[in-house]
This record gives sequence, structure tokens and C-alpha cells, in this order.
Amino acid sequence: MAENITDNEIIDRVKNGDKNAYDLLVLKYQQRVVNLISRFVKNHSDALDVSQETFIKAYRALPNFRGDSAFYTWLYRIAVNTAKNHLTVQSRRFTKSDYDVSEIEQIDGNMSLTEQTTPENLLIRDELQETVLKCIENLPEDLKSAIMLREIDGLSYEEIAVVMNCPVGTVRSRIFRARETIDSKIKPLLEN
Amino acid sequence: MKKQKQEILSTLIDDELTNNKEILDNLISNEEMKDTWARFHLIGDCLRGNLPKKIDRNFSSNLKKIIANEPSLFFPNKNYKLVKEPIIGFAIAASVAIFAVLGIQRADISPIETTASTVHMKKEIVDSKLDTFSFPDNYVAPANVEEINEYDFLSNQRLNNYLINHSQYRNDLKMNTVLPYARIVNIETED
Amino acid sequence: MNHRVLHFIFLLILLNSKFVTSNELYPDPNNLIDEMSSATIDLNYDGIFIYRHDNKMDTMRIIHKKNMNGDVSERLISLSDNEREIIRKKNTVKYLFPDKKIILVEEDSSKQLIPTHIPSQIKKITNFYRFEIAGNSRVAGLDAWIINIKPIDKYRYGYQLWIDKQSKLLLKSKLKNYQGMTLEDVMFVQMQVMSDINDSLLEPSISTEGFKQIYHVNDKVKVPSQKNHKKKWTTSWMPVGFSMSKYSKNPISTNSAPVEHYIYSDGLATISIFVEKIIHTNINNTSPKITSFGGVNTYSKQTDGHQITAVGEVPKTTVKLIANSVKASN
Repeated sequence: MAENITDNEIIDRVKNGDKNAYDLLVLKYQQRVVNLISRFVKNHSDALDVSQETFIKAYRALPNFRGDSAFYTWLYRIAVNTAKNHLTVQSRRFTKSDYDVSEIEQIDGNMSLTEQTTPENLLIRDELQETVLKCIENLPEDLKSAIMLREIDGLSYEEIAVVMNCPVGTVRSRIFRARETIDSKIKPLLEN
Repeated sequence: MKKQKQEILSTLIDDELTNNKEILDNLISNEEMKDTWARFHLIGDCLRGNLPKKIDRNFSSNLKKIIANEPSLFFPNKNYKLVKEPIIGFAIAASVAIFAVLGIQRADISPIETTASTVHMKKEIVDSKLDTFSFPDNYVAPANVEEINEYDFLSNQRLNNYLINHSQYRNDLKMNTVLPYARIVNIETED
Repeated sequence: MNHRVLHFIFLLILLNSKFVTSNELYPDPNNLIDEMSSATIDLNYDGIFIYRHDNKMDTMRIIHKKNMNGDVSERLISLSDNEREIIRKKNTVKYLFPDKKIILVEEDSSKQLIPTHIPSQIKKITNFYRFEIAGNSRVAGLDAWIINIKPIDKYRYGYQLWIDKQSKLLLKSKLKNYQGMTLEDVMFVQMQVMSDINDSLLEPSISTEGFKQIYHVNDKVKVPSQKNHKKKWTTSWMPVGFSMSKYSKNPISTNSAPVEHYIYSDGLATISIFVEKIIHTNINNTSPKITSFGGVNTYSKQTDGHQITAVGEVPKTTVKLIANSVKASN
């Protein structure tokens, strides 16, 4: 059930005319969307364009979002369709393409073979990942467990409290302290 | 004060707040908080292997400029459902169906007890999220992610024995004959 | 009006034809899994695979033979680090640990009681996992179908399998948690299906001279039945669909203390519960503990003078909740 309440609350605000609230959804889902689209669209700047288009389409279609599924499930569908459209247009443009969309869909994300030059505004994932993992390894055991159970196993605070045998309040503060520590390490990377 | 707000933000991210209103008001109007919101989500995506190969620092600000030119929406009716209730109903039906089928199915194996105690059924049901399972990429858990206590584990003969036994029985079920033994080959033994 | 009807009919035809084509293209995932589980047993093959878990990578070779009389022989050789081998012939499994100069020989007279292939299993599994064909790809130079097996809840893991279109052998598999993250994976880099396998390939390549042999005959394994079994321990919590499939006492060759082993399965994932009496020398650490090995999680705790350990390729929460629910029955 996680994500639904906050997302729906935000969507409600956007539907009430608060465009700034939409920013929160973009900030939250941008990486997942770009990552998803990159599986279809190999060229990075094209993938960014398609991702941007996805978020714009989603904004325009938001009045139709009924909350029957999670917001991300809905956004995912828009992203996949937008990516497929992009590929169709591409294949028309370049005589014949041997892309099989259904096949591309299952190809793992980081298979892109062409390495492009990195402009100033791009941060390489591996650099970030390394920083985060290194930081996690150095966290005290209780903080590490709490953040992992939350982010990787997707457990609720209550479930983590059972697993770690501590009060829910402690879980909350451990997760926050873990995030805060990692955040202090990645902040400089993102501000570069 | 800032820390306190950030902790509330962290709780909001995990959908564990009962009252979101105040923090959301705050978040929408405060750029610094928004940045924190983005980075906290980025940490989660990073741990789950959801990051694209390259991260564009300006993606959201570029998009914001475009959205600024879009008309504001005005659809104030809350036409989404609060999904919890209907899903519980659906899941109860699904669970009943599972039990019904199982009753016939298990003729070949006579169970010692009927499992899945009804006491915990409610919890089970709430967690039945059929549509959120995904296979995003080929990210393999780095060491420590799964809370490995390698030293303890490898030096623990008893646990190794348990693992060998467990793997053998798993093998008996014939669903996957290679993997269980692969684990055994890797197990450390003690003199 | 006519126009709309025509439009509707056209749409129906379109949908139908799409359905037919996709049916032709994609096999039924349930059948495919079923075929895979028989192919794994029935064929003769020799393959090399990579097993990745916890940031480690091991290369192994598997040789599998089904003899004319139906018996299965298997040899698994570790190609990286330690030269370890496991050889299984009929009911005997030999574990060769050259680094320790040990051969562990396990004989299990009950193995023949276990059916080699249970077709009804697949039906049971579909209650707790969703099967879908995710596409196709190539592994070890062979064309493969990709099947996603998605769990219905957070208490079990999901799988992604690559199955050879021709032989139906498993070429690659990934164990995934609920978020889709891979916990361990197996990938064949070479796979050869053969009409026959020379028996010499099923003998150890390591000289076992001077090795200490540890024998263990396990004849107490039985399929439980309500009548003749009074269980001393009960669990009050199990994820939906897990039922007890086996029970054994003293299954562990090197342990001095008596151990009871309860095995539960939902058809795909297996959970073991070990109950071991605490004798002051055998268990030092008294605090509950979670450990992981690839996709296998274990949780140990003490209760009523016994060490309870749940082991399974299920999430940590599941083993923890199960172990915590184990109690001595009156």
C-alpha cells in the first residue's frame, strides 16, 4: 500500500490547480522513468526527451487518473507507450529497423553499448552508487538494517519493528538517520 | 527544527504519516525541502538499482519550465478511490478461492496441519499487491545489502548443516535441481 | 449505426487475430515450467554455469545423466576457488571437500519414495505465483523463452527463468525480491544436450586417497500423515499456501544433539524449520540472529530450551515471523 496515500494527496493538489505540487512527483519518479525508457531508447539524450514527454503527457492526462492503480503503474504505462511511439517513428525514419519492441522490453537496463561524452550536468550512476554503497557499509548496523529493510525489502515501519525488535519510533529515527548520513555524502555530487 | 522537519519528510516518503497536510504545504513551497525529498528518493532508487546509467541534474528544473507553460488543472473532485478497502474485499475472495482449490489439490501430500492461520489473514491480505512486483533490471545485490554477517555464517557449522539439509530437501521437490547443490558446493566447512 | 456495428466487428476480428498470433508465438508458461522440470531430470547434459550471489561469482560444471533404468546420476564440480565436487548416484550423495580432505556420504533410503516429477505441483504453484512469458532472448548461444514468476505477496520471492526453446532446459534463473532486485542468479555459459554420457564423467576427478569418510544413513525421512505423527512443535504462522511436506529427525550427520527438521513448501519455495535441543556446549550465541546466503535467509532464536532456526529462500521477514511463531505443543 506504500506510496499511494502520499501520491494521491499530491495528485489531489495538482488537480486543484497547484502546479508546484507536480514537481514532487517528477522529483520522485524521474530516475525510475528515465531508467525504464532507457531500456527502449538507447541514445541518452533521446531517452531524456522521451522521459520529459512522458511527464508532460502524464500531467495533461492527470484528470483521467482515478487511483484504480498506483500512480507509478499508470505513469509506467504512459512511459512505455511513449517510448514505443518514439521507436515506431524512428523505425519509419530510418528505413528498416530490426527492433522487436516486445524483445526490447525485457532487455536489462544497463546494456547500452555506446558510451557518450558526459556534459557537465550529467552524473554517472556508478559514481553515485559507489558513494551510497560505501556510506551504507560504514553505517552502524542498526541504521543499515533499518534502511535496507525499508528500501530493499519494502517493509513497513511496523514490520521492521518486529524484525528488529524495537519500537516503531526507533525505526522511524533509524531510517531517517541513515538517510541523513547518506544524503550528506551524495549532496555534493548532485550540486556539482 | 530543520532536522525535525526532515525526519517528518522521511516518514512521509515511507507513507507512514497519519497527517500529511502540513508537511506537504511546507514541502511544496520550500525548494530546499524539495531537494531533500528528491535526494531521499534517489537513495531508495539507487539501492533498488533503479537508476539510469547517467543522471541529469537539470531534468526536473527543465521540466518545471515546460509545465509552467501548461494550463493549471482544475478538477477538484476526488474521483480516485481510497484503494485499501476494495483490495481487502478482493483479496479475501482470492484467499478463499486459494483455500478451496488447495483443499482438492493437496490430495497427493497429506499435510500435518492446515497452514496460513486465519489470525494473520488480514495482514496477508493487505500485503497482497499483485500489480507492484516488477523486474526492473539485472542489478545483483551487493555484499551487505542483504545484511550478510559473513563471518558468523561461515564459521557456524550448525547453520551450514542446516543449509545443506535444507538445500537437499529443496532438491527433492525437483523444481530446480542445480541451484540447491550450487549452494552446497560453496558452503564452507569446519574441521 | 451500420458503420458502428462494422467498426465493432472489425475491432473484434483485429483483437481475435492478435490473440491467435500471440498464442502461436508464446507457449503457455505453465506447460513450459512443467516441461522444464521434466527435461531437467530426463535429459543427459553437460553444462557450465555461473552462480552469482552476494557479490560473489562461482563457476560450476554440471553433468547430468538419466540411466536406462531411470536412475539419475549427477556431478557438480566447482571450477573456481575450491576444487569441490558433489556426486549423486541414485540415493547416495557424496560431497568431496579436498581442502578439508573429507568425503561426506549421505544415503537416503527414502529418496525412492519421492516421486521424481509431480505434475500436480504446477497447479498448486499457480495459486501463489503468477506465471507469464516475458519475451525471448539468447543464453549460451541458445534461444530461450523468458518466464516471470511473480509472487502474490511479500512473503516469498519471485523468479525469472530463461528456458531453452528446444530442449526446455533451464539456462538462466534469477531469484528476485518483491522490488525486483536480483538476489542470486544462475546462468549457463555453455550447455550441451547429449544422447548419452560416459560414466567416467560421473566419477570424481580428484584423488580421494587419505580422505576421511563420514557416513550418514538417513532413513527416518517420511512424508507426514495426520495419523501416525504427533508433532512436538507447532507453528502458528505461515504464509498462505505453505504446507508441511516432510518431517525428519536427526537429519544432520555431524551434530551430536538431536535435531528435528520440518519442511514446508508452497510448491516452489521451501522453508525448513530446525529444532535443536540446547545442550550447554552446542550453542553459544543466545541472541536471535538473521543471516543470508544469496537468496536463502535464516533466522535463529531460542525458545523452551531449544534453538529454533527457520531457513528458506524467502524474505527475512518470513523466516523471522515463522521462527517466532514456533512453540512446543502440549
